[in-house]
Parts: sequence; C-alpha cells; structure tokens
Amino acid sequence: MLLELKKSNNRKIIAEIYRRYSHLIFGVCLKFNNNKSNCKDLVSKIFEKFIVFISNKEINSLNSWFYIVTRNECFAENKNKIKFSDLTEYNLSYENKEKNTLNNISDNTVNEAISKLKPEQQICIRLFYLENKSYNQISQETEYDIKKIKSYIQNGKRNLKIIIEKQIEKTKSN
Amino acid sequence: MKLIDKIYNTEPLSKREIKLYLKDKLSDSDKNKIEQKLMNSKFNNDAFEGYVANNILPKKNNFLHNQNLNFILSFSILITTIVLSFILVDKTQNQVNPNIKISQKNIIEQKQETKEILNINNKQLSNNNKTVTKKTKTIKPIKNNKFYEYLPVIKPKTVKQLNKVKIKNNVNLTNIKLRSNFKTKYLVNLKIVDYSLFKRTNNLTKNNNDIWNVAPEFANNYEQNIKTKNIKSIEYTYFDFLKSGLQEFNDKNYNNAIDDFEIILSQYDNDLNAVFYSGLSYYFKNNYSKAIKYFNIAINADINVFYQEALWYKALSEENIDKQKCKQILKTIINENGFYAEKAKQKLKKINE
Repeated sequence: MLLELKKSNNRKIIAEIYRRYSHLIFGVCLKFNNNKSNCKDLVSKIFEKFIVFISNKEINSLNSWFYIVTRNECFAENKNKIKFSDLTEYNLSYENKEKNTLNNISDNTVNEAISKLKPEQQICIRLFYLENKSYNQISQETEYDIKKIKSYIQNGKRNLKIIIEKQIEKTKSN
Repeated sequence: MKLIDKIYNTEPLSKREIKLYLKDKLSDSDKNKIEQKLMNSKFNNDAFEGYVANNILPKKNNFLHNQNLNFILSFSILITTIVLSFILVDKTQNQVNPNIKISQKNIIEQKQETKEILNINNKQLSNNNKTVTKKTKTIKPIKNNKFYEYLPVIKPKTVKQLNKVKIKNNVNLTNIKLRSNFKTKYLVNLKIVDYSLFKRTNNLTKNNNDIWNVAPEFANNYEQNIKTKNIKSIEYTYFDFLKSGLQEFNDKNYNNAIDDFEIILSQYDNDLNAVFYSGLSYYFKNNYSKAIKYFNIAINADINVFYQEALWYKALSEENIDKQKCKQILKTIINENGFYAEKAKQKLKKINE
C-alpha cells in the first residue's frame, strides 16, 4: 500500500490509510489529551504531516510512524516537549525492530523458545497465542489476576525474543 | 499464519473491533483476537485505553473514513449546488415581477422553417400567437426562458388630467392612443419602449461561431455548428441585444435584425420593440403580409408607444396588398389627427388620383 502510494500518490490509498488509522490516532490523543476537539485537530494535523512526509521520505511501518508522531504531537500540545524519538528514527522503534529481526522463523524454534520461558509466562503465552483464549478465560483457568496475565505475556514476549535471537546467533556461529 | 507472526503481529484495530469489545458483545475467541492485537501493538493499546478512559466509542462520523470518499464528497457538493441553484432561481423569479411565468418552449432550431401566425386578434399577446421563424444561424436563447404576461399599463395621472383640458385652439386631446402611455427612450436614433423599469434577468446568448464565418477546418456551417456547439457562447443583456438588432436595422441588414428580434421575442413574448422593428424590417424587405401581422400586434398592444407608427406603416403595407383597407386606415389616421395625419392626407389623395 505504501509503495503504491509512493508511486501514484493516489487519494484512495490515503483515504484507506485514514480509515484504518484515524480512530487509533484519535484514541491515543484521547489518552494523552482529554479534549475531544483538540484531538480531532491533532488527527488532521498528523495526517497533513503524513502526506508531506510520505512525499519526501519512506515509511516502513505505518503503525510505528503514526504512534510516534501522535505521541510527539500530544506531548507538544501539552507543552511537555519531551519527545520519545526523532521522527527520522521511527524505523528503529520497538515494533519494527522486533519484526525485522524475527523474520522467517519456524514454529518449532518458537515452541522451543517458549518452553525455555518461566512457567507463568509459558502458560500465559501458550493459552493466549496457541489456544486463542481471552484474558478472562486464562484468568479462570490459572486463577491469575488479569493485570498479572498481561504482564506475564508482555514479559514473556520480550524474553521470547531474546531467546530466539540467541538461537539464531548460535545457528549462525555453527 | 506462522506462530512468530501471530505473536508479533501489529495489525491495527478497526473501529468495529473497538466498539464490539467495549460493548462486550464478542465470543471468547473473538475477544482473544482483539486482545492479541492490543498486546502486540502499543499503538492499538494506547488508542484503546484512550477510548476506555474517556468512556466513548469510536464514531462513524468522527472522520472521513469511507473508501468512496471522493464519490460521497462530490455527490454531496452536487446536491447542495442543485438545491442552492433552485433557491436562487426561485428568489430571482419572485423578485422580478409577479406576472412572470416560465416557459419551457422557445428553443430555436437550426433548420430553416417558418410557422405561420394563426390568430392575432387578441389584445393581449398570448404565447401561442407569436411567430417563430427558425433560422439557419446558431443564435439561440439560454435554456430558462421567461415570458412576461402582458405588461401592466402605466397610465400617468397627467394623461387623465389632459382628457378634461381643452386647449384654446380647439385641439381635443381626448384620444389616449396618441399619447404615449409608457416610458420611451432612443437607442441608435430609434424610439424604443423603455422596459428598464422591469427587471429582465434572463440574458440572451449568442454562440461565438455565429459571429464569425465558417472556420477553415469545417466543410460547412452545419458541421461547424455541431462540432463547436458547446465551445463558446456570449451572454448579452436584453438592452445590448436590442441595440445590436437596431444597429443591424439601421445598417439595413434586415435579415440579421429580424434574427435578433426573434431571439428577443422567443424570450420576451410581448416585447414591443422587437415586434415593431421586426414589422418594419419585413416592410423594408417588401414582405408586406408579415409586416402587417407585426404591425397589428403593435397596434393592438396596450402600450401605445408605436401605435401611430404601426398604423402608418400598416397603411403603407396595405397599399401593396389591398388598397381599400389602406384607405380605411389612412382615414382613421386623419381622423385621429396624429403625427402622420398630414402624410396620410397626401397619401390618400395620391391613391384616389
């Protein structure tokens, strides 16, 4: 979609991107800035930035780009000018980086990595990603608190990534 | 989907998903899908938290979100312009004159054809009675045509007073027909009825290609007309159009003058200027029968600006057709003792000789 947009600058594609992301941007704005009308203004401002940005530079991940820009704009709006990262560095953000390093990995290696996690993390990740169970179901089965389940999954994901990267390095060195 | 992609999938949440999740209308497996998206993407998670914290749902109309965005926008613009134009047309119609009616006829085609006038008896000029001479030229009126019901006669108070006054030399001015009952003025040295009191909003149009000769790339007029149909048109006010017609009349280009007057008549059915000068044009073209029809309209009109002239020229026209009628008209002119009375006497003498 981004490539097509870059080539043709098609309005339909921009409209589609707007359809997919505007409500998320609005939601993030709502989180950091409670004023609804301000949030609407911010959404249009961010899309104006997007249209200018896409004509000059490349965007690899729309999710990351929009998230970082939205947060920056929200903080700027609140006169709290601490920025998470510079716009040009958005490609190095969390999601993109994770995805880039964890491409083309088989399910077996992932399963092996999961088995090396702590038991709570292991259980939660298996139930959540492999058995497609909701937080409530996991909570009922494991009697963990939902907040804990979330943190187990979150930490489990981070550890899983580290384990998988180590495995990849090992296979490369061998 | 690979397991690794599932764990690190960052697909954006849709509005519908957020709505359904917040309304708690999902099965556990569907909830899990959304929770995975929330877990995998901080963007999704923060947005979701924003909606939860403010206790609102993403609304459809918050943003322009439709795929057919351009279509909807253009369609809505189209509808608003149509509605606005209708309102404007209504307003202008109401402002002009309560007597205005709208006629959807009056489109002059390009082939030459002539329709005869049937009954020209009525005092009021009805729409059915007019002559429509279809022309080879591409001159045509604009689409929305209005015609005026017969214009209200303005009888100045001074005229009424004059009825009672008898001047010393025994000239009785009782005959209103000899006094102009409507404002007049002169254009290209010709007397005209001054309709400026009545707004005439619908301008007349002329195709540009009519002004020039056939362009070299076209074999004939017809081909040119078809190909350049919508290229350019010039819009004239009533006054300008009348002026050009009278100018043609002055220059003795009677055919062109008649063309212009017909355009005026096609939109302003009762326009006395066009009626009278059409009649004169036909008279000078020696087309006496047609000229008489136009003069009759001018004579029977409630506005008597051209009454004397029309009567005189009718007499001159009748001279070439029916001398008895001519004599009768001359006698009436003499009896009315108007501007042409002396001329009428001389003419009558000549005929009697």
